[in-house]
Order: sequence, then structure tokens, then C-alpha cells
Amino acid sequence: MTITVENLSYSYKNQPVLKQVTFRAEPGMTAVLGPNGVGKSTLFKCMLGLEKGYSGSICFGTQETSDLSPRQLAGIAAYIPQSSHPTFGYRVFDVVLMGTSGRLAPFSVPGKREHQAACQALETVGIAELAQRDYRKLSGGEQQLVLIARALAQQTEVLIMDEPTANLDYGNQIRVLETVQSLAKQGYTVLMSTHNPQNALTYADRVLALYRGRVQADGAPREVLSGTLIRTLYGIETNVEGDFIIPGRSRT
Amino acid sequence: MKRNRAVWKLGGLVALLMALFLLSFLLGRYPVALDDVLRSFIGREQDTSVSAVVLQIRLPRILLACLVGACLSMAGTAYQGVFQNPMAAPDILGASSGAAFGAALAILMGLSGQWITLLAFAGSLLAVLAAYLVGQRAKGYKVVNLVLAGVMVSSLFSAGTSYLKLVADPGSQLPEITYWLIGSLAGAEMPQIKMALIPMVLGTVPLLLIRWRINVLTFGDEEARTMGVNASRVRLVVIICATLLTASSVSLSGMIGWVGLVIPHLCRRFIGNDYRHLLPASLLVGAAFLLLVDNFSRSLLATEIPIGILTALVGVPFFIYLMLGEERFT
Repeated sequence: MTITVENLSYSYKNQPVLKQVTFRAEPGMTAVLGPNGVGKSTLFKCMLGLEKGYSGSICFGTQETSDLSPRQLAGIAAYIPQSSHPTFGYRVFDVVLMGTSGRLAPFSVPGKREHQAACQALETVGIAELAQRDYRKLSGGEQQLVLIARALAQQTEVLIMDEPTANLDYGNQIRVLETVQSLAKQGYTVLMSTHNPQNALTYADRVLALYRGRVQADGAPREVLSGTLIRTLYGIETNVEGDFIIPGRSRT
Repeated sequence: MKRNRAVWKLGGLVALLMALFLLSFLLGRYPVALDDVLRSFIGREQDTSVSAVVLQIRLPRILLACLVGACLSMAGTAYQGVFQNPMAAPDILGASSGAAFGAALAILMGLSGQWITLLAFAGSLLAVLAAYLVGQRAKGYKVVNLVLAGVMVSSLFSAGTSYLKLVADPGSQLPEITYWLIGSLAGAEMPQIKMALIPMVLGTVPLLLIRWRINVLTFGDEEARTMGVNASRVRLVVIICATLLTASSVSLSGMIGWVGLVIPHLCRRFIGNDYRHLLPASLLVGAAFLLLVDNFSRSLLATEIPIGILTALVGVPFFIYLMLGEERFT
């Protein structure tokens, strides 16, 4: 599904956070890149219908989000937070099952179809063996995979992820990113924010760089990611050599 | 918790409650045998004094204990979910003191019956919403904020109730109000119980229907919304229902503490946190617990021990056990 965002502006307490943001995201992985506090999370909240007072338009396919109810929106786009801490401990299977809630009538409990969706989501992410474990007792990386499975159980075409690797150790970062990449290859439209340009370069099909609320760059990672862009975003010197971003001044 | 195992556990609880229900008829000064009880139920008991003891004295009291226990415990379980707070309970949120104030006000104004329940509900709802709004806006640790806000609201309503006692007619109204505040199941009468059954059912049925969505709310409002669950609407429905349960039980039996905090946690340990099983379990365990405690209350000593004292005696040590236990509690 194609996401089209046009002239999106948003202010918080008279401070502009997003200014005239315009972009398109196609199926595949789009990395939203930028330092902390440039409006990545705000952009996602607007797209998910969690922030209302914006101007401009956000369309999933041909549907304008402002015309959709939260339930309809939940049928189109699923959200994967950076981390999630429920008040009480739930079994992993039940956490994933909660992804199906939007499709249920308000006064019903998940049935056979929902259980199948949850099983399949666990299989797709490759964590079926965790199904009976207590979510709160898993490692951060495993929790993140459970949240991805929960989003898949929601059966949407769009996945929106807010820095899914921010709290993870190196191994789990790679594990999560590879999972996300394989989902993007299966045809999901993935929007993933990250502050790590190397992750964007290695895994994304497209990079959308935000800086001070504006789109600074938008295009294929190898074309867009340059020493100049990274200097603008983060104020540091780097060299981009092939698929690698190497910190430090140029040695040539 | 596997689904089937949870269903078996619920079945076990139903059987336990039913056994306890029948055995409770045997307790008391007038000796009654189990077959007397069963005969009285189907109207075949020849000895009218036996059937009078069973149906007119013991039945109302036993029913009342079950209903009040079930209501308070379900209310606590529901509050904990929608406030995302393991410390939430009717007594801690101020729901009970709000209800007591409303009931006292109704007595002072000379109202009776459904009006007492209605005013208790109004006071209770006011207290919970005040505690929620204050706790929500305060900065810092949300679990503690809600508890502190509840303590403040509680104390405000208790002050109000004290004033009502002061201006109440010492001959007739004051004893009635005082009785409410102590919390007792001794005044059980069938017509009152039947009347309270309406708000109790009105509170229970929506809660049971919406119970899956309470799970989703424990992940926070934003996540719930992105999963297609309207968090504020679910919360409002649950608050109204749980408060209705609190108010109708307070207007029947006064303030009985600890049931709404301790039983939900006992059930969480027993059957897990999934509200699909947790809510029915807290209904059953709450009913069984208060019935059991009330049996002690009326048979342990020659004079009756007020039930509120006994629930505290049982509740507090269990709560300390939870706090000091291996599992993280808040």
C-alpha cells in the first residue's frame, strides 16, 4: 500500500514540530532518519491518528486518515512501539492475540480465526517457541519480536515502527532489523524511524531524512546518504564508503 | 496459562462456591441438616421453623455475603485494569467512601431504597473521577499518584460523612449511618437484596462482555488506540460499571475493606492476568471469600464480630505477603 503525506505541518504549544512534510512511501522499508527530537515520533503519531491538530493530508492508498475511525485505521496500519510495558504479565500468545482486537466486535472475545492469526504471526516472526512464556520475563529483543508479531496479527499492510532497536544490544538489533527487512520483502509497507544511518543504509529500501521538522533528503539510501547529509543531521564528520559509514575525517 | 486449564480452574471455583454456599446454611445456633436445607429450597420442608431459619434468616445473609464479595472483588479487578494500576481498588480510589457519603446523605434526607443506592453511586463516581483526574495530571510515578489522589479524595468524603453524622438526628438517623460505616452483613433482608440485584447485574454484564478489551488497555492508551480499541470509551464504561458495583454493595452492607484489593491479586496468582478468565474468577472467589469470612464472623464468638474487622485481619497479612513476595508487585 502506498502512503502519501502532503504538506503535513504540526505545532506543539506554538512550536512548529513538522513543517510542510511531503513524501510517498511504497511497499518495502522506508527508514525515517534524523537525530532525536526532529519530529519522527510526531510524524508517526499524526499518521496513526494519535495526534489530531495537524494541517495537510495523510493518505493510506486512496483513503484520507482523518476520515477514518480508530478501528478502521487499525485495520490499515499497525504500530510497533520502541518498547512496551504492560501493567500485568501476559503470556506471549495473549499479547499477540491482542493485535486482533480491532477486528472484533466491542463485546466479544477472540475466536478461532483470531487464534489462527496469532499463531501465524508467531510463525512468521519465528518465535512460536515463546508462545507460552511470560512477556515481561523476556529479553528486550524477544519483547520487540513479540510486538512485531502482535502487529502482524493485526493483519494490516502498513507497519509503523518507532525506533524498534533503540533499547537493544547489538545482536538483538540485527535480529530485529533482519526480521523487519524480510517483512518488507514480503510486501509490507514498513516505515521505521531510526537515528542510526548505518541501519538505514544496510536495511532500508528508501531513506527519508528529517531535520528540524523538514524533509532534508528523500531517496534511495546509497544516493541520499552522504557525508554532507550526516553532517547536517548530526553535526559530525563521516565518510560513506560503499555500504559503510565510517566515522572520522576523510583520510584521503 | 493454557486456555483449557483456566476453564477447568473456573469450573473448580464454581464447584467450591456451590459447596461453600450449601454448607454455610448449616452454621448457626439453630441446628439444621443438609437435607433440611435442600427440602426447604424446593418447598418440601414440613417443619416450618426450620424452613423459616433457612429461607428467611440464613438465605438472605448468605446471598448478601456472596453478592457483596463478588461485586467488590470484580470492581477492584476492573479498576486495576483500566487504571493500569495494581493498587487500584474501591477502598483506595475513594469509591467506597464516596458511596458511604452518598448513602449517609440519602439517609439524612429521609430517602430510602433505590435512592440510597443512586446517591451512593453518584458520590462514588464523583470520588473515582476526582481521584483519576488528579492522579492523571500529577507529574511523576503514576501508580503512586493515583493512590495518593485516592487517599485525599477518601479523606475529603470521610470528613463530609463526619459532618453528616454531626447534624443527623441522634435518635434515628445517626445509628443508621453509623451502622453503614462499620460494614456489616447482619441487616440482610430479602426485599433490599432483590432491589440491589438490578444495579449489580447492570454493572456485571457489561464488564464481562467487555473483558477482553481491558487486557488491551493495560498496554497504555496509545497502543490500545493503534490496535483499534477506543481506550477512553472502554475506560469510561468500565469505571461506570465498577462504580455501580461498589455503590450497590456499599449501600447494602456499608464499607467492607480489603476484598477489592486482595481478592483480585489472589486471582491473578491463581489464574493469570488475562481478563477473559480473571474477571469471572474474581467474581467467584470474591463471593466465596466473603461468605467464608462471614461464616467466621457469625459463628466464631457468641457475639458477632463485624465483618470489616475480619476482612482486614485476613487482607492485611496477605497484602504484606504480596508486597514482600518474589514477584514485582507495583
